[in-house]
Amino acid sequence: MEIQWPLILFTFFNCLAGGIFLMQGILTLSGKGKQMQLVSCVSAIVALAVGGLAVFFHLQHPLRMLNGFGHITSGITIELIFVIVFAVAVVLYFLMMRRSEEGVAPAWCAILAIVVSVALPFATGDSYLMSAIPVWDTMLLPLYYVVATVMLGGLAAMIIAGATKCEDAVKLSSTVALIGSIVCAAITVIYAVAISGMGEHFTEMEYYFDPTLPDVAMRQTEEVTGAILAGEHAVAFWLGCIAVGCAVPAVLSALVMVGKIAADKALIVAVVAIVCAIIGTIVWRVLLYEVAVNALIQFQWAL
Amino acid sequence: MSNYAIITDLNRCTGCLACTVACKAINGVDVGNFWIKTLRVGPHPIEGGSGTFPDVEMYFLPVQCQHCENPECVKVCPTEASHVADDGTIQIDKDKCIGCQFCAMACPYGVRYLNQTERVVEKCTLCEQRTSQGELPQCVSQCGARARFFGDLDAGVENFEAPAHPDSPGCQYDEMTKTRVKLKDYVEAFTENDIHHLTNKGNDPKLMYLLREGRKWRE
Repeated sequence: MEIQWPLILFTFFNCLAGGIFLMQGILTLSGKGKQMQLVSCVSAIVALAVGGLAVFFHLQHPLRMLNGFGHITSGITIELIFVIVFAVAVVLYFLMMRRSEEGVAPAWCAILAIVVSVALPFATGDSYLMSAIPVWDTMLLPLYYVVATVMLGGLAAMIIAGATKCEDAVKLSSTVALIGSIVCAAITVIYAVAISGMGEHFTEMEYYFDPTLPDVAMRQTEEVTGAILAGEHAVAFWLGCIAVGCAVPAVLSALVMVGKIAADKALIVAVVAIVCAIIGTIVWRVLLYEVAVNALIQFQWAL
Repeated sequence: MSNYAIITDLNRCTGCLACTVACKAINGVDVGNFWIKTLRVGPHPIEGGSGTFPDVEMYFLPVQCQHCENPECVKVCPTEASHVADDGTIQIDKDKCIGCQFCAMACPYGVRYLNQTERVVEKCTLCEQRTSQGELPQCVSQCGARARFFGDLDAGVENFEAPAHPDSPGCQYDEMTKTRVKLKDYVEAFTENDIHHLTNKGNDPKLMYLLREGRKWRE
């Protein structure tokens, strides 16, 4: 399938928004990050809005959404519901923070933040599960979005903490970023290994010809299942997703966490780390489109 | 209420693409889009043969919307633009389509296309504009090999119909379009085992294919 950039950006910004708010929830629950609450809320909403804007470039008739989503159980409708719930939770957090005499949102708001921030990327990933596309039709997809959210959230919180001079949040943020990066690397590798074993989910006719796509060569299952771990996408996967996308953020987060990098320099390090993480997570999303081949391998989309 | 479908006798299909062309013409299908496409499956070596010509077999496979019992496209559509109509076919309400194209992704047969002009997803309607007036879908009407038969599954596949030659030369349009043959009266004998469906990914495709006489159905 052709790479759908608006959807890639939409899912990425959903994860980023979720990560920022998730981390603020964790910090608040730990009694930290008071100065960065407002910036976190604004950043999360901005990320959500940019993601929403991106999806407008995918939808052919976005304004028809105003007619209502009649099919409540469809993945996209559920995704939209979680986006709205997420936005409401951020606003609620902000209002409760402003009402509080201590200037900190209450614990239940922090717990709500954590719950909706995990639910949003999960619902986003869940909407892509479809039996026609075996490499997407696995719970590893929503799970990946959740762990990417944790990684991006930790790194984004390091930046926000640095920018707002909220030094009590740096150590916890870098710890979460480290854990998120390591788990993200593990889940990505597990996902890639799972894809390499998905051969039985594809049905192929061995020899066929589609006169509507005369310039498209016949495909075999191995070209899909073997492409990531050791095939044509191996360099992008190991270098882009794992080394740059997870290992570099993990190392940088660890250095900040153990104090090898001073708190005042954590901001620059966090920016470098999140750029690497963004490269990694975007590359992985692109690869998931590259191997998104129909389960019935001879029936190809014109998409 | 009815439950419309098509059965194609692949032993008769010559791969002439008349169905593909007729569909594009009658439905104004966009350039580059095909509501029905005809794949060539094979040639595959015959088991026990030399492995080369003439010990090979092949068939042509017209693929369109399978008007599934349990359609994935309807499940993923957020606006109910894709829906199951009263006649059992899957239809798209273009006014409701937001163009998310998830239905096209979720279809296992790759038979949904984005109309670049109208910016909505389209596919085979089983020519509901014709069948609602008692006519046959255009792909059935113009099948060059009389391999395609249309009918109501509730009335039995053996009663599916294809166009036939009227007895009187120079007959009028009505007589011509209403003169038909039934599957059971026209094609070579077949059994239930000779009726195949495209691979079922949980969507229960309704359209059927006849393939027999030793030719191997490849899913």
